[in-house]
Formats: sequence, structure tokens, C-alpha cells
Amino acid sequence: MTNNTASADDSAAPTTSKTVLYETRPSFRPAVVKLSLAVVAGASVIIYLLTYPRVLGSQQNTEIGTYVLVLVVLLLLVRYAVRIYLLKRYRYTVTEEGVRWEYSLFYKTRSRELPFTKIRGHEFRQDRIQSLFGFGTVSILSGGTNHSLGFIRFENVADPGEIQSTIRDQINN
Amino acid sequence: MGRGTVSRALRGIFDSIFRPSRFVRVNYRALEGSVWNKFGQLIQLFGIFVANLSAYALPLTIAGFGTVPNVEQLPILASLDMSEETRFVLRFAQNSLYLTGAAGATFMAFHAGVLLTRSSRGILSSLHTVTYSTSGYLAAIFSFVVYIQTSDQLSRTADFLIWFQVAFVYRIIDMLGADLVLEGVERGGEMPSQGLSQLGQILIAGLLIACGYYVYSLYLGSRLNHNTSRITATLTVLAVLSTPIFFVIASVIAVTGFGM
Repeated sequence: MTNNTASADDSAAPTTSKTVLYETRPSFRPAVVKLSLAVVAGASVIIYLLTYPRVLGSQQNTEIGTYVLVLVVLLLLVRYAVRIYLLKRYRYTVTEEGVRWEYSLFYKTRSRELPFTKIRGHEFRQDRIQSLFGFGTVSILSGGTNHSLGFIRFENVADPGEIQSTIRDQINN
Repeated sequence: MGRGTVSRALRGIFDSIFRPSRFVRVNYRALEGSVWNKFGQLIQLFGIFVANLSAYALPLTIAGFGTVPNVEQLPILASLDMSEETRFVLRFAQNSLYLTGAAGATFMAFHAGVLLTRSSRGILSSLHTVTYSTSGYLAAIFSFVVYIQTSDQLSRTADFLIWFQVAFVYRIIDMLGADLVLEGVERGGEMPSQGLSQLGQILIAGLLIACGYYVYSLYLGSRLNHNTSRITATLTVLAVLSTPIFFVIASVIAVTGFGM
């Protein structure tokens, strides 16, 4: 992994001169949908508890249950809001020589590059929300079946099939 | 304390609240390294546990909680110079005792759970899970309980908590058919259904959420660090949650003997 602190601007040109075959950023639409679902579900249950104050045995118990739900919905709100903000800081690139993952936050940039010669496989995952929009997550693995031994993950990308075929073509060539 | 340590600590707090999977996930590279790497991981986990334990017990000790046993209770104290510093250390040890004991019980039940389901990826994975779940979430649970039970404005909320604990113990006593009455504690009767202040209700809600985080972190630890299935992870969590039940059963048997 290389640390590149040269640029804090997301719109700045990449510091590499390699030909870019594919470049994209993750979409935050699935995270927005999950956030909306959490808020709607939480609000519905809270309204139900407020409408039927003895549903949990006593009004006091129902008030405690309401506070639990409010706190949980707030936590989920913050979690997904942070996730949406962070997803906008990523950039994924496929070049002639490998795949690259870049992330910048608060004037600090991180990048990770994996040459095609080191790639041993790739994995595609798509949850139910991603499948609604045709998004997916592609993990490019450098060794074994354990992600943590060295991998790059392109999350919530719009054309996961195209990324996989671009990588496959470069490996075969 | 370097900037790296501070940013790691802040990231740890953020992960513990908003990304519990990242909080409890083990470092696989360390698990598959040499014996020295694993030993280094062990020392690191011990350091993390002690740091979090101190973060929990030190404020309590400074606030005056904890008692120093007298010489009749602990004869070894006769040989010690009972200065203020020594008393402080003894009170700190007492305040740390419950959390340490609970962490030990959690580890034994958790690791037994993954061993019995033939899913274990090693003792280090279990130690990592339990270190983070107990020193993070269990400490939060203990902090809520201590605050509620020691705050003058929350006496009704404290009674509410005590009612649940008493009801739990008496339920087990009744299941065993033991003729046992807890000293100084009567059966609680009906659950207190009113009288809690708004702050008390919010604190109870916070306590319930901390309990949810604790259970969920153990589930995640089993799934992520031992690569178990959902059912196995659930069974592991149930093994941990059953430890208070077995503790009460053992206590009842110890008091009444086997002829209950």
C-alpha cells in the first residue's frame, strides 16, 4: 500500500501517468435507500407505540421502548449519513497495469494499487438494495480466499460487470 | 500520547458506536503470523483491556467508590502499609473486579461455544472478540447501572432495575423448587409500572441499547472472527447469555445443597 499525500482535491488529476481504462466512484444511492427505510420503519413503529401506549404492558414501558427506538433511529441516521459522506470521497480506477483505490478525507489521501500480475481472483457481491439499481461490490483479491490477505474493494459501483470484464481482459492479456 | 494514538482512540469510539463489525473484527495478518506475532497480539489485547478497564474503574475510584477490606477479611493486609495510595489501589482493584470477572466468564462461555460447535479459529480470535465487546459495551452497561444506582435523583429507576434482578433470581429459585429467600430482599411483587422520571427512562433505554450492542458484538465476533454460520453464532451468544443463569443455579446449590 502506498500513501500519497500530494493532493487533497478530489478533482485533481491522478498522480500516475498510466492509461486509465475505467474510472468510477461509488454510488451512495443504496445507502440513501437503506437510510430512508430505517427512518420510515422506525417512525412507523414509534407512531404505533405513541398511538397504543399500553402495548408493552404499561405506559412507562412503552415510553422506554419509544426512547429505545428513537435512539436506534438516530444512530442509524448518523451511521448512514457518515457512510454517504465517506462514499463520496472514494475513487476507483482500472489502468493498463492494475487496479487502484483512492480515498481522501480532511486533506489526507490514501491510495492502494494492485498490479494485474498479483491478482488471483475477483469476487462479486450484490445485496437486495444494490440489485434494485444494478449496483454491486467487486472485490479484487491478491491471494487465497481470505479478503484480509490483501484485496481492493470497489463498493456500490454502477457497472460491476464491466469492471470485472475489464480486469479479466487485462489479466488474460 | 502521540497523534496516532489519539486518532486511533477516536476511530475506535466511532467504530464502537457506528461500525461494531469493524470494532470487533480481528486482524487476520496477526493471526496467521509467527508465534511472536501472536504473542505480540496477546500483549496488545491485554493492554487494550487494561486501558479500557482503567477508563471504567478509575473515575469510580476517584469518586470514592469501592471499599478497602479489613484485616479480618484479608489477613495479608496486616503486612501492608495502608497509606492512601495503597487504599486507592485496593479500591481500584475492587472496582475492576466485577468487570474483570464478567469478562472472564464471557470469554469462557464464548470460546466454549465455538469449540463445542467445532468452529473455533483459535483462542486469539475469541480473546479479541471478548476483549473489545466487554471492555467497550459491557463496561458501558456497568457504567449505566452504577450511575443509576448511585444517583440520588434516580432512586425509582434504581428500584426498577433491582426489581428485574430480584425477579430473575427468584424465577430461577422457583424453577429449582428451592425454599430460599434472599437475605434482605423480598420478592418484588408486580413490576413497577410508573414513577420513573424522563431521565430515568432515557437511561434505561440507553442501558437496553448497550445490552443490544454487547449481544450483537459477540454475534459479530463469532461470525467474523471464527467464520461461523448464523445459527452457530446465535448458539455461541446463547452460551454467553446463559452464564448468569448457571451462576445463580450454582449459588442456590451452594447455599441449599443438592437436597433442594
